[in-house]
Amino acid sequence: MSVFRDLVEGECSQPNAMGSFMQGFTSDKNGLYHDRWEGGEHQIFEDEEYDEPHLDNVFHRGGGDEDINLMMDRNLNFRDQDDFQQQHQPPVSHVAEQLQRFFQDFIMSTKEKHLMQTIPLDDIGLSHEDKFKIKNRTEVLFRHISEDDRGFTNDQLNRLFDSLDINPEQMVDKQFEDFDQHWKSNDWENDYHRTTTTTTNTGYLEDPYRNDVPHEIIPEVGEDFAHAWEEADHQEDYENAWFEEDEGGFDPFESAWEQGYDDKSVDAAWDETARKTLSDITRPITQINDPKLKNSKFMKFMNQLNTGESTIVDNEVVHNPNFQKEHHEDVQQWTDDYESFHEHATADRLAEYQFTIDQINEQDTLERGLDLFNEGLISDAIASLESEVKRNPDNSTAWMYLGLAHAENDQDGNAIICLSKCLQLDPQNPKARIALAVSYTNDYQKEKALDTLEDWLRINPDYSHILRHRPPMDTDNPYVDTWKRHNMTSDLFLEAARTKPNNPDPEVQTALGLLYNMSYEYEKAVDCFKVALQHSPQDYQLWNKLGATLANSNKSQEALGAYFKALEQKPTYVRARSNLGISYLSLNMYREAAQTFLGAISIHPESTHIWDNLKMVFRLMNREDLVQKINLNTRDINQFTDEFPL
Amino acid sequence: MMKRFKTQFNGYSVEFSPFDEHRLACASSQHFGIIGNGKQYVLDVHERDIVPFRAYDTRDGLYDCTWSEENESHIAASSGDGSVKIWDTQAPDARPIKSFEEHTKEVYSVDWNLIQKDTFITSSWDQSIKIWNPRNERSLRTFKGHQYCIYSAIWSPRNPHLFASVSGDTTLKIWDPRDSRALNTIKAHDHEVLSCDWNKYNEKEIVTGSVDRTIRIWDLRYPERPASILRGHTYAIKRIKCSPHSESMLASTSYDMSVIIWDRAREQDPLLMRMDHHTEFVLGVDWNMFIDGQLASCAWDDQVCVWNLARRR
Repeated sequence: MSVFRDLVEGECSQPNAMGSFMQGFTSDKNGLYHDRWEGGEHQIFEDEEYDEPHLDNVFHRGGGDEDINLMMDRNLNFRDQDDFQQQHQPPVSHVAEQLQRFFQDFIMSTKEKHLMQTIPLDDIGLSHEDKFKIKNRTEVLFRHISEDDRGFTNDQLNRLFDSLDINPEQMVDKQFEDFDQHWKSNDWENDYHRTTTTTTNTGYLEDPYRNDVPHEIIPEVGEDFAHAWEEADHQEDYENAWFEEDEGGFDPFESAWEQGYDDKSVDAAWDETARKTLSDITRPITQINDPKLKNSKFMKFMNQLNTGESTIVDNEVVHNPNFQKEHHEDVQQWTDDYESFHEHATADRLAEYQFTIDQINEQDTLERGLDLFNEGLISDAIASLESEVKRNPDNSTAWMYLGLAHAENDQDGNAIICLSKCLQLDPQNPKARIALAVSYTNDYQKEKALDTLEDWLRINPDYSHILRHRPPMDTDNPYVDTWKRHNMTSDLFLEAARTKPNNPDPEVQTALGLLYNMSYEYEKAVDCFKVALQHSPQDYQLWNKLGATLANSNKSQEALGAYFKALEQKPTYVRARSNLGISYLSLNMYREAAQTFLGAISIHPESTHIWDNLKMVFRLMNREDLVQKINLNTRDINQFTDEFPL
Repeated sequence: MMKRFKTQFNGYSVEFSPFDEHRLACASSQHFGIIGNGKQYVLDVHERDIVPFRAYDTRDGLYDCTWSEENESHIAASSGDGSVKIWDTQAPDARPIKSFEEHTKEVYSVDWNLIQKDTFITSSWDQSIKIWNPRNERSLRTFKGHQYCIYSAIWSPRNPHLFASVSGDTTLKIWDPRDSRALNTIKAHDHEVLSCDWNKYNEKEIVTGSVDRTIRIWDLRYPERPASILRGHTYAIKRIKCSPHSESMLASTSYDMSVIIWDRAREQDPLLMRMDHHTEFVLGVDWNMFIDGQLASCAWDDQVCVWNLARRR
């Protein structure tokens, strides 16, 4: 039932339909933030498999081609009801009416325990999949409406199936048992754990939460999903501190259950849950090895929370009376520490960096880390820079590059932590600040992104005066309208731009480009990046941003040019290469796309999403053999270099 | 005065926005969700009427929707084709900004975590529950344990590490997302359980509604029997929502085409009001967080209704 399967298994014999589908699908919004998904569900129905015009009446709103345009051009600001009515409530087709009446009869008669009429339905041309859905869903619905009375059940359902020409024998669900059978068997004792083995598409395209481009077109994952999870890059786990695997099989309620629901024991179980929560929060903190922190009172407090010596009840720190303790007078201090910690924790999800390495590697210096970064070896650069920051936690340059490296790896959470640290040490670092704004935007923290951009203005001696004129924020309203805020910030930057009409500041222009991307005003964003580039034509990241913005506004051809420029300057810039591949894809240039992805992989072989993209290209080229090669023997690009010389 | 809006398709779920007191979302499906497309509505409730703001088309029916707790323009909806979509109402076009497609069967519910705000949970007829962070391409975790279709999974409004799920296997399960097995499994009814909700004021209390026409209130400390049972509906109970303004009030919808407002503080007769403003199965109901006493409901008569409970003097 996946969209991709429909697309991909069809033949590529109708290039236009596929092309325009893909265009909407991939190119639209690859880029800074938006993931806009594929172009209109309606287009799916135009492809081969769904090219059944009589179905159009059922599943379309009555039109053929006009509908696509409607979908594309449609202005969704329904200022007047009529406009809305016309687009969303058009006259219902004959088939839809029939179906509606048919199902209505089924429902009503089921409720009243009458057998439904057998309404002769025209041949609506339902696919096998449709019938399967109808069968399952009507069975479930049926059970909810009526008491289980075998005779009536069978007759009623049979009438429904007969009218729609559904043959239950043919509808065996290979992975899951037939719903109805399952229900009837009522064998709850057996614990089935069926892994989801079907082909499902995971995730999707254009993502407002993503960085410079990344379109992760994650195509169908053919393998077992559980397996895919294992393989997936687990760096996301840094951010998911809440979901740690629990080794102990912790089930506080189980013991309560066994003890016969004694009040105390259940409460104890709840408290145990609370304590565990606290220890989960505090454990990573207590594991920080930084000698400076070890002696701080804050750390001591964290230790206490972790071991249960103290606990939080109703927002107050409470000592566990059973725990031996001496320092009573420090309670207030700890409470204070806790409060600030608490804010910090909830707001920033524990802004403590999680290192991938344990020990400092003597050979990894800042220089080495920078070299690796410039060479495009991001994972190595990260490890190397981590050594440096462990050695010298005050090295703001190291923190900055560590943050930039994480951003290139799509780890915006980590990027934010590192870049924030850099700015703590070196508040005047404009590059880090802009990068932080980008990462915040991708991590979906629009407000923080706007804050960061405003801070940039504030610390810049040329523009700090602009902020003085800004009207005070409305602090009463707890719900900030981020769009209003966005407009305010954009205005500030426009003013900044106006102070230098003849000699535009590339950083202001870049910030404006970012802001316009946030509000989907791509043409303006393109203009801003172009101006910035006039000043700094060597900035490969700017070229990439320009490319991404162009691609987002459906100008894939022009986007190619921008990506080439970026790659000219930094051939190891994986992100730009990946984006280039995606743009090729949207222009149906599959070979070039494949070559480009392979090029990207050769630099960064662990990137799962680029491998996924490559698989997708192969599918579109109808080369299942190549897809299999990837599935069977991952990560070895040599198998492909004959056909796609790099 | 009851305000109404006519949807093109049969309504399945309504949710008020956690950011804007006038904004209401409604997930709907063609042909009762049996076959056909879906449509996610975003509506604005005005003084006298309800005006559409956005409408998003989907390939298969939509069974539930939920607003993001961290971004006022994001809305997620779960679909019959196994996908979960997120839209940005500020985006200039109608395409979803994300589509997650891991569930292999109908996704019957989607709920956003009110405390952690960056995760949401979906439950499906494929017998699994998944947690997602909209930033990640893949789900964070999958929970299995139910033996049949899961109809609803709801986060606790007070504890970010707790959620409940109900299923056609007649059980209510309580989970801590950090553990892969349920903390507790309660045999809640004798028939399929279609809905559950947490009491917003008492974190140990949870309410379930079933095909057996009863609503049961559970104290999680004593799970072997319900704390009380509410009777009054004559057909399966499809959705239950506890009031955000009162510890004792809740609303329920049913295939008997009514919405009942209950007030458990009235011990003799907790059935406060039965509303018959719909002419078909009522599937969705929600309380407005900002306006005490305002409710919305949607039904298979294609009506979305918004009204205010009269004040008792």
